[in-house]
Amino acid sequence: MTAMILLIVLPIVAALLVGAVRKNARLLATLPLVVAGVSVLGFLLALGASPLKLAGAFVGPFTLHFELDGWRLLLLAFVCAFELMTGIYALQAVARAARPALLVASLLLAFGSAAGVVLTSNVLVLLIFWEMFLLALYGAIASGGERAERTAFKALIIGGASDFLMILGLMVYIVLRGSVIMGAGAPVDIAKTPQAGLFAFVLIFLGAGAKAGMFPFHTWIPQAAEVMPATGFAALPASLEKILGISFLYTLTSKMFVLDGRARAIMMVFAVVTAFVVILPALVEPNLKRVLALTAISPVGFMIAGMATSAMAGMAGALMYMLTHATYKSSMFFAAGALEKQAGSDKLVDLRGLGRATPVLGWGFALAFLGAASLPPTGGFMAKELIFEGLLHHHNGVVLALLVVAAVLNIAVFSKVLAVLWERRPEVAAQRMPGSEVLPAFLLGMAAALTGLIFSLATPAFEVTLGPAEHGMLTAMWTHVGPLTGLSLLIYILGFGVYLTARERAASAAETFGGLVESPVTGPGLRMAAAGKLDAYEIGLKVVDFVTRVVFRYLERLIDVVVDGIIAGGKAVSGPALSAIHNGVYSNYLAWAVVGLIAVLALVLM
Amino acid sequence: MDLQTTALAIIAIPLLGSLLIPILGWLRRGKLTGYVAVALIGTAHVLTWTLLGPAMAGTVVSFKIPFYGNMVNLSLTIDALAAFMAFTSSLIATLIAVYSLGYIEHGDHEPEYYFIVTLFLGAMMGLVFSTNIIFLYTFWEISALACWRLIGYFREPDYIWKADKAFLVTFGGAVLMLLGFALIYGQYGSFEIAELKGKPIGAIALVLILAGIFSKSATVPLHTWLPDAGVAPSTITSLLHAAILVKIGLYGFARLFCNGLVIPHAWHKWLLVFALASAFISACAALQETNIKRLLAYSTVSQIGYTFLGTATGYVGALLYIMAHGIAKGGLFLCAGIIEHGTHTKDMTKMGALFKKMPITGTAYLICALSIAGIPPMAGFFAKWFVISGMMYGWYRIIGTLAILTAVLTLIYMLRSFHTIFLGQSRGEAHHEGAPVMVTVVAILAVLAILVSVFLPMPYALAKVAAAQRTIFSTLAALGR
Repeated sequence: MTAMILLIVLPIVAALLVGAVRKNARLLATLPLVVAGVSVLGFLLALGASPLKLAGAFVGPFTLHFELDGWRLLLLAFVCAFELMTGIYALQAVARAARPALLVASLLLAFGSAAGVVLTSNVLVLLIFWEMFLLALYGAIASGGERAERTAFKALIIGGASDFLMILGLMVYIVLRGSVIMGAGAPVDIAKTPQAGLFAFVLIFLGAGAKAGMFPFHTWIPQAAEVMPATGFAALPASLEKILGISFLYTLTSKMFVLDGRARAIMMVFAVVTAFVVILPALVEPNLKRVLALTAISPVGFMIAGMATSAMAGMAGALMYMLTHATYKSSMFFAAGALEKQAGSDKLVDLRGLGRATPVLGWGFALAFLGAASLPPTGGFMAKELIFEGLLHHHNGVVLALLVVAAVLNIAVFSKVLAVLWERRPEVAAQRMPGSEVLPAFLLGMAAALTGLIFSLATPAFEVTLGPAEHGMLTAMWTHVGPLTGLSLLIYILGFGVYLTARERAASAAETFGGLVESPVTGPGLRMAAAGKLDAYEIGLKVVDFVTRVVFRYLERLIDVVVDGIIAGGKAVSGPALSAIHNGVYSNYLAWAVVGLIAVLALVLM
Repeated sequence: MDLQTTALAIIAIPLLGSLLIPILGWLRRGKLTGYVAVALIGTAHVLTWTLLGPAMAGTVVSFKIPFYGNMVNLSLTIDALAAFMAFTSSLIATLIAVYSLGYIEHGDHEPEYYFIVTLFLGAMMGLVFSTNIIFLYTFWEISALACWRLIGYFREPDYIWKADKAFLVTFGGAVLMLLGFALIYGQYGSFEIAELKGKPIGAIALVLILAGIFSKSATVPLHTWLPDAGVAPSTITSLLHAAILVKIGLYGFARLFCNGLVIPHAWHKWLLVFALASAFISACAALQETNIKRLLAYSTVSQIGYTFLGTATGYVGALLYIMAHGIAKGGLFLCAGIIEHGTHTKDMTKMGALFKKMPITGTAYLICALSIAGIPPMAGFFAKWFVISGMMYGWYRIIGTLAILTAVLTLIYMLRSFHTIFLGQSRGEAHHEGAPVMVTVVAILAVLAILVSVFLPMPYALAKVAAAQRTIFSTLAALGR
């Protein structure tokens, strides 16, 4: 019990104390690692205590229910690992942030609230931790300095607005289910409550999807990648946020609701659009961090598709993809931050050959690439096969075909990035990098490559949440060769093939796919996207501005004019007398007040 | 001291004690007046603490001091609702009075300022304990007079016009309300709320009384005096918005219609629509406003709409909302005071990058803004949750949905104001943090905006008792919930 509380409370308390140590740069830089170290210790203690339940009252439905089972333990293991890696990386990198104290406080707040989200079983308490995480994200982005402030604002507005949708959905959900405890009692069957159930589900789905980076709530992510410190991006949007968002989506689709055809169809639409919407921009993007951010969005579509199948295979695949993705993407971001420091730029063209020149980073990135490309034996391979199996199981052939295309293009993007970093450039000389900035990228890259093994070992944890019916499903897939294995092979071949074909037409690896911008088919869309004209947030703000302007000018101001007119008319009659009384002489006011009091008393006594 | 004496002391100390302040002014002890005001208001607040225990235990004490036959008695009731309001209002008023020590530096006018502020709080205290309609009205009007003088405090012609506007709108509404009270007396022969409990109110009397309540609580369309009242010193706008004036209207509604007369069921949905429209229209106005005090004023109008929604669908939420909004909005206006002192402007477009010079004020502003927006873990979230979650039944779900969309607007204008004022590039002259006493008070309010969440079980328990003591049920209770 102490360990569970420690994992949540310690980072939050430490975040509150950052102000006191903000002037001590060394202490500030060390704080995340110290807290992460204690958290890992707490996790190890919790390991021995699992399973565990903790319940207490707070106010109304906001009861303090916390739970630790095998699945949550696995999630916590990943959360703690990311905390530890972030703590190590932060030792040197924090000093480079424009607002280091804000960055450290935000990281710590994110650590505590992420643990809270994982451990709580009360959906309302989850919401509170979730919002605290949003505040941490806002702070982490804003720690990038003045140029990051606009993006921080955008992230908070998108996150806040989608969370309000989720709050509304939860309000309806609680009425329908009569309980705030996730997993208690029977889930809400949407087919039996066709209007309210679907309404609640869609709203919560949008909120959870927004957290995971689903279309159309994703547009802040590439911008944040560019302006926020790599430490913050690797820890929050790239890893912890994805885990929180997707794991809640899983809870939503498996424990809170029984989906019907409409709910699945809605999810599939969002899944496909999310998988595709940023692929083309990612192919032509010249900034490494933006490429990585854009490619963090597409996998969310795969995960949502897996959830939408409601099949064990699809769900297991989505969860594995979530963990694999968080691992390889944070590795890549840590590497990108270190490479940016080396080159003084985050442009692909300036990073050519740097992976080769800094082999530990380069290999870390390459290992992470294995996970990103879903090559065996990574968890990504298992995940995609399971998602495809789920889709086949539900006869979603069209969605499957579309996701296959998206997977092919994803591999093409990553191939391009890897080729740029490993380009032969003898003139590139790397500076010596501090171990703390190299190690996290390498270790996480290695972990990404080994996720398949980790998942096989952690099969019991998956079974806790997925159910024992699928016993053996996860391990059997290593020995089972079927049509889906062939499909995976086809994806690899096509993905590398697409890249190599495009590479032949480009002057350098960094310029590969550059022709898409000039193409009459893809060019206009890409240029509009680059100008922000397709950004749902910008469009939404314009709509809000228009509506509020109309209401303000033609309703609120009109009311004021009418009220002023009535008062002016009244004053024209009584004005001279009032002006004489209201002359700024204090004793006159007092006299008037006394006369008024006497008048009131007289009225009362008459 | 028994509860009766305590209640009388809570009213009398600021109300009668305020008369000492002009005397000190005449004796040329103007500098002392601020401390005397703080002592009077602070004492009243400390005394409210002694009411909390009995109120939480469900104790209700009512007593009458005969005044004029059987018709007009000084009837006071100490119950959970009164204790909650008295505690919240006096807490915020005390902090504002302390802040005033650093804010008000106008020599000759200091005694006048502190006299009226103390009188203002005294009127509020009288109002929250009164259960005789005539006394309730009397205290109501004392507050209107105090408000009028304080809005025109700086004496410029435009300011005096705006003070007159505030007075005339609220006074006009109050006169209509008085007519409504007369109709009730004609119907039931009593001004005692206890004797009117559970009795239905006629449509005409209801409309007349609501005119008074809505004008006082600045509900659309009787709200435009409140943004205009931003010409007053920031301490006063803070008092108006956070602690006293607009809360009087809300309290009046709660006392009259949740603990007394019964509103016909057909009116319920229209009241909700009215409250929601008020919340939405003023949120739209806030998004278009560039004057910081006017923006915050529109925000108050919007949030008052939520509180009215809460009185019908989530009484506990409505009371928590009064507390959460009072603390956060008080903090925001006091931050606005520091900003105005430092920049000599209220125009947000002429500010920017103030966080570097005013880190404590900036942090306090952000925390209070997030609380108003209803972002957890700030207190405003819980209040908003309890208010809106009560609307998830039947067609009320539409109202709840629109209320949530309005909450999104709140988040946008609150966060945008923070970014415009404190972040980005500087667009004005050099600035500095406020006086230590002022900064301390805004920091306390910001901390309270969070601490109320941590210690929420206490105000929640009190609000629950207040809800249980209602004599009529909420709209949803009438629906069978």
